[in-house]
Amino acid sequence: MKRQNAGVWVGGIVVLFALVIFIQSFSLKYYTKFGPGPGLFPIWLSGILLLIGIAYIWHSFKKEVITWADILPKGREMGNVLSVIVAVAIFMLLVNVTGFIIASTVLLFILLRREYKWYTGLGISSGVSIVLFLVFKSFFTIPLPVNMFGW
Amino acid sequence: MEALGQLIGGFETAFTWWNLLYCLIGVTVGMLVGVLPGLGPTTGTALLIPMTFGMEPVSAIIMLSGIYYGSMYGGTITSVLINTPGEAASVITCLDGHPLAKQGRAGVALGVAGIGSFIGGTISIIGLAFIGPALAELALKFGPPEFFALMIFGLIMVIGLMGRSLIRGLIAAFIGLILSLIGMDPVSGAVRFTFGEAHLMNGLDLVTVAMGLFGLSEILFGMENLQKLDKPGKVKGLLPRKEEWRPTLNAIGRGTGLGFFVGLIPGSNSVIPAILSYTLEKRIAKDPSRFGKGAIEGVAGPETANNSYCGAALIPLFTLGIPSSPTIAIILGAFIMHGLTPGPTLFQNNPDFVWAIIASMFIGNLILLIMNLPMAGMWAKIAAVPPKLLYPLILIISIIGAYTVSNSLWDVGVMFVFGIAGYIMKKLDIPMAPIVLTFVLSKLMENSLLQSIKMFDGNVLQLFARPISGTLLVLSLIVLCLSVIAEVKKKKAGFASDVEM
Amino acid sequence: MKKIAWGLIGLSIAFLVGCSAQGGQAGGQSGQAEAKKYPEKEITLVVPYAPGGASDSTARIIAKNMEEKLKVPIVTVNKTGGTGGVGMTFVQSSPNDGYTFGYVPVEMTMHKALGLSELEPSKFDLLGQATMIPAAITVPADAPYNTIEEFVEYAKQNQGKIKVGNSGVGSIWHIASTAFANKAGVQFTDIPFDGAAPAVTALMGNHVDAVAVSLGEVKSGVEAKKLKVLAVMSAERDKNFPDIPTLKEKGFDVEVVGWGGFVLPKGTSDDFKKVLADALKEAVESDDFKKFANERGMSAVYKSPEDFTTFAEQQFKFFSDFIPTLDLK
Repeated sequence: MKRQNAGVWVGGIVVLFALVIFIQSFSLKYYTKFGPGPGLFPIWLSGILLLIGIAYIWHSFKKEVITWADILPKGREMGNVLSVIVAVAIFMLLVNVTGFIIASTVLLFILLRREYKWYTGLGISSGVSIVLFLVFKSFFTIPLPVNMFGW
Repeated sequence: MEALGQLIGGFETAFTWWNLLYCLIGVTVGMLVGVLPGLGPTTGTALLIPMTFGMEPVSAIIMLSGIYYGSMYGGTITSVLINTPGEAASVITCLDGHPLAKQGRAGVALGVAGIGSFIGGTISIIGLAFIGPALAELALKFGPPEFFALMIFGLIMVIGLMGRSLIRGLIAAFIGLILSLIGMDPVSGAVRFTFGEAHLMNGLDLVTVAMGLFGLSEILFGMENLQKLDKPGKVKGLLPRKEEWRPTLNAIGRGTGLGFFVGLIPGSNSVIPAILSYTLEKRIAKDPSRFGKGAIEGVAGPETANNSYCGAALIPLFTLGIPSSPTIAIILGAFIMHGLTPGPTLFQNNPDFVWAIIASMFIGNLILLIMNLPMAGMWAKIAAVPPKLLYPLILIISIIGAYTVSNSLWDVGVMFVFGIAGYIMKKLDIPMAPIVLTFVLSKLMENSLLQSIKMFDGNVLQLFARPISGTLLVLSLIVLCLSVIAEVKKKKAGFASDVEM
Repeated sequence: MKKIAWGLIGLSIAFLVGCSAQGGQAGGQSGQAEAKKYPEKEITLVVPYAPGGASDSTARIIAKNMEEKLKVPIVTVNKTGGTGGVGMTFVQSSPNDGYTFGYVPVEMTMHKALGLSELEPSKFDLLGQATMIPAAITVPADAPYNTIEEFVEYAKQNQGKIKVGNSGVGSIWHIASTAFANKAGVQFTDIPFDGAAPAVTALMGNHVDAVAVSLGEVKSGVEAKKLKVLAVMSAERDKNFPDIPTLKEKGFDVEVVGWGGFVLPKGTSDDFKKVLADALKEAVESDDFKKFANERGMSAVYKSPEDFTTFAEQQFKFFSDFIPTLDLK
């Protein structure tokens, strides 16, 4: 994987995206009796993106080879990036059950624990979560997700 | 000079203690919703409308319009400091504002934005007061064909933002164009590319996408480099260097004009003048390569333009009763709720009212300037919060911001996906600005083209037969040709130097 | 490394799927929560559109008035998306304990025919109607015709040449203008806009020849003497424009109106429904709501749960028959 060409991979995703839109566009009317239909724009745009995507793959093969190893971080740095992703994932799974305050505390704690002592991290996490909850809920009356106890 | 006398009368009304207080509340809340990503002026005004029920109409409108123009000031702050646009109009400010902050010049970026906003805001209010009614008629001439031509012009200008590699720029531009087509198209009635997902029916939200691409990717990037991140430099003052003053003031002047012009056009939005201003500045700069790395004009121009837009966008409302953007539609609602009908009769039947509002906007802009200049230094200190604490905090605030877009986790998920995409694109040097900009233009362009062709019974060439649209289209063609020629020349020069090496 | 990349993609997909599913649960149980006292805690009102629009303002003012009667807070929540489908579906699948209700516009009865969602009146307990919004056929003030008859005459001589702006293909005002054209035996060129306001703006700039949108949308244009209204499409003349005839009295048998009402999740107990319906009736008939509705070009019209149910079913049937004839797909 590390040796894999990142440009080609991303180009592949772009081509796939363009292809899906391109194929879907054919189920929309290209032209109606009054003029262009909802299919006209997407067909052309995705068609062109398809070509650019292919050109980009070619470019990445021949001219400018960038491998995943060149761009993805390693070790602790990768850990930092992944911790953000994992934290958001856990937040989204938790929030509708536990309410905002707990989910947000967990999210912040996952990130802060790497840099702070656990009690400092926990203190900051819960403090920030409670303040944010109060500000948004009371002042802006934004209905943040809550648990069965209403917080 | 009857108007001048009335304006003075307006100041008398606006200078009462209560109205000053409401003006202050309005602009402060505006700043606040502008600062918080996801919450924009539209939500801000809508949430405060119930509060105005019991108020005097003048005070109510003073407060609501304060939110409206105040938010334009606030949006800048997060763009500059944490690369997360607080509201749509400030997306462009990320491009050069954040690099400036990284150089320790966040104070300068915010200071210039504040000064530009003040000048743009004030001049457009003068325009609103004295030449508004005459211009409103002109604005009506902008039908679908003219609008289409303007969008084409904007799109051509985006080419200037593509960065070093044309192919990467084009990928970004076309992804933006396509993403904006997702959802139910109210004009053709077709539901496109939603894959049966009801949340996609209204399309992707611009601010959510921008928050992901710019803000979240910046968080991922920053977390990655947590260990080797330099301490941000000391905040170095609020004012540009001596030699930067002239270009900055010129950019502010051009931004004012552009913003005012676009503001007149019903159906436009505050992102468009910012795009036009940025690309204009980059195009006429002696050394365009500075842009994207902290060019002060890249902050001054767009920030001025979006504030100038605000004042001008009220002209169609005051003179014809046309709401030209969602926020203004809410202000229109407030007018009506307080028993006032905007339109030509407003100036005749309620001159005291109109002039008091206009006077309050002068005052409001002054308050904002006073609040912003000293506070720019304070805000800039946020950049000095240790990154290991700052990034998690931005993350959770962005999540709340995305959540508020439609009060569901859907938009949080969308922001997340675009954040990861943005992170990878950043690594591969694919520019992100074109995605956001073409995203704004694409749908408007498609709609106006469809309407134009129907108006012309299928004869597309008629687009060139109308004076305004014809001129804009020819202008676009010229700019396109010039860019192509410049590109070819650069290629040749590039080849030559390759050979020499 | 490959695993990580796939993990990223997988995670992101899992999220999108996950968050789209979360609206669907919390199905309708427990209608018989035997609470003697109702209401005893805050009630949630779901508005399926963004804050600030006419629907949102209507719902918020009604909520404010109902609060006074019910003596509990009513929290208005905007659940946008799916051209209203997300919010309305949310209400449909909320617990029917009487603590969630929703605002629905005329589009609720059109969604199914337009293929936008599976919503229909029978999937809710209907609580009552609050507003009625008549369509008005409006032309520029300097147009060569002054009455609806002259307009139809002119249109007959210029078949297909009259450009009529509407607020989007398949929108209520598109249906209004098409229904009128059918009855009058004329052919219009429909030009869809993204909402009624830009259509009215285009009319003021003479880019289109007529619009059939709500009276409220054209009110300021009429007062500015840039537009004139030829006819309204409601059953009776509008109180704000008493001189303007209805299409019916001019011999065109069409009536298309927009409306807004309130619904409960299916199976809400009748006792609760009655409490809410009484509060709604009082809220709609209050002076400040009437004033608000008039100024927005709407009429405050209350319909009881029974009448509203019959009415919505009729509307649903009308749109289900009429929309397919438009040949939108």
